[in-house]
Order: sequence, then structure tokens, then C-alpha cells
Amino acid sequence: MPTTRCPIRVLLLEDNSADAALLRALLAESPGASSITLHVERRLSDGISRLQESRFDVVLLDLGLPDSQGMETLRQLKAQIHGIAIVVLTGLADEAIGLEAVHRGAQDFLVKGEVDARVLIRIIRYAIERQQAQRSLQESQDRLALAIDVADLRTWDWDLQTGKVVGSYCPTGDAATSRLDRVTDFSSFFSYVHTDDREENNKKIADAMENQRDYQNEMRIVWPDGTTRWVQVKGRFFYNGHRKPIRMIGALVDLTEHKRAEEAMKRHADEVMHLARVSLMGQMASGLAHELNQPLGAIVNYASVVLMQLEAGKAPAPITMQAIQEVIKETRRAGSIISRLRSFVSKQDPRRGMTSVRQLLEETLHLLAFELRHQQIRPAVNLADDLPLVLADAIQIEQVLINLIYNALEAMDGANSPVRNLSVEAGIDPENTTHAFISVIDSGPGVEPEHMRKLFDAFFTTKKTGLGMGLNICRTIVESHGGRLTARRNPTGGMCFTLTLPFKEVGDP
Amino acid sequence: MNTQPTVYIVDDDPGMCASLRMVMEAAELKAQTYGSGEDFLDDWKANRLGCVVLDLRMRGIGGIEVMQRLRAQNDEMPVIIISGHVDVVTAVRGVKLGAIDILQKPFRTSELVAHVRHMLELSIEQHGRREELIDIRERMNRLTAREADLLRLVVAGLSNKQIAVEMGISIKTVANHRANLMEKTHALNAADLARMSVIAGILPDHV
Repeated sequence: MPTTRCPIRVLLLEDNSADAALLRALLAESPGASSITLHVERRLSDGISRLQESRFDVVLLDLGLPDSQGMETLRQLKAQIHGIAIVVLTGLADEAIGLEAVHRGAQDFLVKGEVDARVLIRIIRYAIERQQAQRSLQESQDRLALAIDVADLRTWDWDLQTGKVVGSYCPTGDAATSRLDRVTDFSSFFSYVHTDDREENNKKIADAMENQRDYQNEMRIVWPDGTTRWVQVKGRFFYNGHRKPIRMIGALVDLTEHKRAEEAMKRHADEVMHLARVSLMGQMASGLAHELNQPLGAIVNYASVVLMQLEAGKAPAPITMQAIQEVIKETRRAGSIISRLRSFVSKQDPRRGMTSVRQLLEETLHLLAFELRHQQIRPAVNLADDLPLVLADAIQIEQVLINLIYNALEAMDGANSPVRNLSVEAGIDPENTTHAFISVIDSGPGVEPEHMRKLFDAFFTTKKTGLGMGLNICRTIVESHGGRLTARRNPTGGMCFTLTLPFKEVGDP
Repeated sequence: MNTQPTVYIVDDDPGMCASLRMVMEAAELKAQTYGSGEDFLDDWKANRLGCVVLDLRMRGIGGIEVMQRLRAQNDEMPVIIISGHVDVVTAVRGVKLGAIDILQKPFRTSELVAHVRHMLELSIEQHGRREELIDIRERMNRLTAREADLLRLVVAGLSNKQIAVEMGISIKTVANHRANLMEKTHALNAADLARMSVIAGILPDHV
């Protein structure tokens, strides 16, 4: 240990010269005496001055000095000189005083005349060691306290055997979370958890306890005055020899402001996505109007058939009935085009749910029916069998797919190429089997290699008209679903855009 | 020969396709539907009696291309193109491909039926001409070399006397050959013979 090699500087505060001489003699004959230097002061004030001037490792303190007596001597020394190891010297009958001194911050005490050189040097060394250990513990506690303060954390220590909880005291904390400090047992803490979050929280605690994992949760806490706060909690269990949890320490951070900002951001992002969708619908409007003309045209035809029958004075025949049934069917079809359009532009809150990829593709191709017909493209749809449902907001993913297919159609239209193939493929992502992939592949001229890296950047566009926000928003949408949107050039020409979507909530076990 | 002409409906919108078929059936016309240009072309047979009602814009092969492929196979079957919007270029391309009608959606059903009936008549007429052509060619093929030479001189408007000089035979022989020629070709007179020659392509039609 470094302390054994470095010279030990000892300051002896002792007004009795005989006692001082005795100690000096003892030190001189102790092992390693050559590395010990001893200074003696008779008065406390002189000792303090000495300690302020130069560095000492330990003070041997006689409590009875000319300028100070008893515990007051220790108190004064400690008050003026921080962090020095103190060993109190006591008389024969004063063991009780020695113990009191230790209680008040002395590292040790020794009874004058009862120590030999070996014991003395051991007491001195241990005192120094303990002092250093104490100091580093104090420093790490200071650092922890600072960190807790800066991070605005609350900590707790839950004794599972007694049910008692000790919360951290944080004077700078806001009113809501500092209430935690008043919580003294865990069941009352849990009574503050928002009723909607309680079941999940209990599950998470039980799960952590059982699987010896850290407990972690984000939940709402409702205080008796009705204020709701979002908190993030993390706890760790300690177990006894029988793997029975006996203690849990944890920290809690108030996420309310963070959540609010997050929600504002999300609302903002949803707004942008919605605007992009409205603008996309603007591009598709005339096409959709034409699309609506298909069932309307069919309805006219069927109605004319009925009219012809009536004009000819014929009795209702199977063909009349059938025509009327077809009118109903086609009217429904027209209705579904309109409702598809409405839900696409409506400003509803994004809703994630288990969604069929096949249905996503069908809806998308329905919305793009006119564009496909107009460009005389029949997309090859290649869908893996038994593809599980994905967790997605159907409208937002349709928005992405429409963007991708629109881009593909545009690319091939400009190319004027004789081969205009569009294919859509979907299956389980081979690179990440917790996700499905959907690829949109065209046979257009492809993106210039030098543009590939900027493809998803905001305001990057190679089109004459266009803001350059389409792919950027698409990527935002896909990533907000926990998926990825990537682009690559096909070896045979054209582009392949692939998006992935999780089969379940990302982060779920 | 199937005598009832058929309306071939090609539209990739199933509702449109089915409703047009019913319209045709209500008008007591025979109809057949195809969901794509490809399906129609796959089923194609030469010289059928009827007309095509063709959607301009379809996924895959579009209306104009279907027409081009028909014409490339010398099928002159009349075509009615229906479309949500017809631009001038498309209209011109269509017209250049011949025997065409263009109906813009939305159209009156009765209007379509009238157009279809007209086109079916056209088809029957075409068919009649085609039959006659085959007939005439067959008759022409039965002519001897001498009779064929005589034919060219007759339709050129030469008299028997002039022909006799031209061919170096007697007027009587010319008259005999001429009688045979008229009998073999079933021509009523020299003018009828000329008409047949034009149809058969023996004579350019500006003569």
C-alpha cells in the first residue's frame, strides 16, 4: 500500500513533555521508524496553524491542552482542519472518553502508557487508511449526489422484508416528485400509479423479481391533488441465499416535460404526414375521379338495361333482377372508393394495429388503380404465403407505398422504355425475421449513383416539380413504426425500395 | 360459317365489362368479354364476324396496341374505342388504324348500342366482300392462260375485232373464248368482268 512506503507525517498535540518524549521514543523504535517524522505542538492554536501550513497524515491529539479542554478540543480541530485522521490520546481511566471521541469523528484512540511501539504504529497506519477510505467514500457519495441532482432523479431503497421504503431527499426537486420522499412504504407508492398503468407495472415488477432482471417501466403517477406525472423507473432486486428477493433499490425520473415535448413533436410529425397525404391525394384526385367513373358507368349501363326492358314492355325477367343487383354492387364499389379516399385524407389520430400486408397492398393498388391503368402497367404482386400480420398504421403505410409506387411509375413514364415492369414483393425479412419486408421494384432508369446517398434527405429531388419531401417523410413514417426504408439499384436496372415492419411491438420480449 | 356476329368487349374493369355484356345481351346481341388486351389477343381468330368494344387504358396492353396487333394480322374487324378521356393524338392514331369509332365516357348506352349495330353491319359487309373476293379469285384461277390474256384485253375495252388482230386469231375463235370466259367468271357483261378484275387485283382500280 502506498501509505506504508511514503513517509508518514505525524503531528503530536501534547503539552506534557514527558508524554511527548515517551511517544517520540516509541515511534523511534517502531518498525519503519525511518519513514516517520514527528512534530510536536503544545497548544491547539499552534497545532492548527501548523496543519494549515503543511501537510500531515495524522494528528495524535491530547484532549487536555492549555488553550482547549476535552471534546471541545476535538470539535475545534475538526472544525478547522478537514479530512485529517485524528487519534485521540486518553489517560488510563478514560476509555469512555476515547470511545466518545471516535463517535465524534476521531479515527481511533489510544490509552497513554498502554501501547507499545508495534501497536502505536498500527493504530497510526489504520487511522490514516480509514481516513482515506472514508474520504473516497465521501467523494463518491458527493459525486453520486451531484449526478442524482443533475439528472433530477429520485431514488428509493425498499426493504422487502419490512416493506419500508427510504426515498431520496432532493431539496431542489419539484413539488410533485418530492412527494415520493414522504412515501414510507411501497404499497402506498403503488397506490399512486395511474390505474391504467398499474396492471402492467405490477406485471413488470413480478417479472423482474421472478427472472432476476432489472425492473424498468414508464408509467403515470397521479398524486392525491390530481396532478399526473410521467415517470421512468428502474429498479434492481437483491436476493438472499435462497434466491428470495429481500431488497430493491431504484431510481425514478420525471419524464413529464420530456413526454410533453415528445408528444408535441409527434403531433407535429403527424401533421406533416397528414399534409403530405393531402398533397399526395391532390396529385391523385383526377385519377380517382376517373376511377369513380368506372362503377358509375357500370351503374348507367345496368340501369339502361332495366330501362330497355321496361320500354319494350317486357315483364321483369331474370336479367332485370340481375341488373338491379349489379347496380347495388357497383354503387357499393363507388362508395368504397369514396370511403377509401376519405379515410386516406382524414385527420384521424394515427392508430397502430395488427394489419394484413396483403390488405395494405390491395388498398394501395386500389387507390392507384387509375395511374396503373393510365400507364398500362399491371404490377406483379408476389406475396409470401402465411405472412403474419404486421403492427402498423394502415393509412400511413399505404401513404408510403403510394409514394414508392408513384415514384416508380413516374420513373418508368419518363424513361419511355419498352419494358415497364413494376413488381411488389412481400415476405419475412431474411435479415431480421421479426420483421416483414415489402419491396417496390421498377424497371426505370434508376437513381444516379451519386444521388443515392441523398435520396432520403429533406428537400432533395431530381424531379422538375416536387419538394423533395416524399421519401424523407416515408422514411420518417417507417422508422416511427420501428422499421427501415432502404433503396438500392437493381443489377438489371431500375430501383428497388424496401420497407420493413415489425410483426409485434419493438422491444417486446 | 357462324352467321351471328359477336361483340367482343375488352375492358380491365370487371364492373364495366360485365355491365357492357348485359347491355349487349339486352339488345339481343351476342357478346363475349375479356378482362385484358392479352386475353383478347390470345383468343383471337382471323376473320371473325363482329366488332370489338375496346377500353383505351388498361393495365398491360392498351387499346391502341391491341388494334395495332389486329391490323398487323390483316384483321379489319371494326373497333369502337371507349375511354374516359381521349386526346387528339390517340384519336388520330386510332383513326389511322381504320374502321374505328371513339366513344368518350360517360356515353349513353343507347348511343353505344347504335354504334355497335353500325359496326356489326360494317363487319357483315366486310365479310360479304371477303367471301366474294374468295369466290372471284377461285373463278379467275380456273381460267386458262389464253382466257386470262383475253380477259385483260376485254376489260381494256377492246372490240372482238381488235382482240382478234392483237391475238392473231379469228374473230370467231375470239367469240368462243369470250363466251367461255363469261361463263367461267359468271360475269354479266364486260363492266362486271372489269369490277371482278379490280377486286381480284388483276387490274389496278384506277383503270
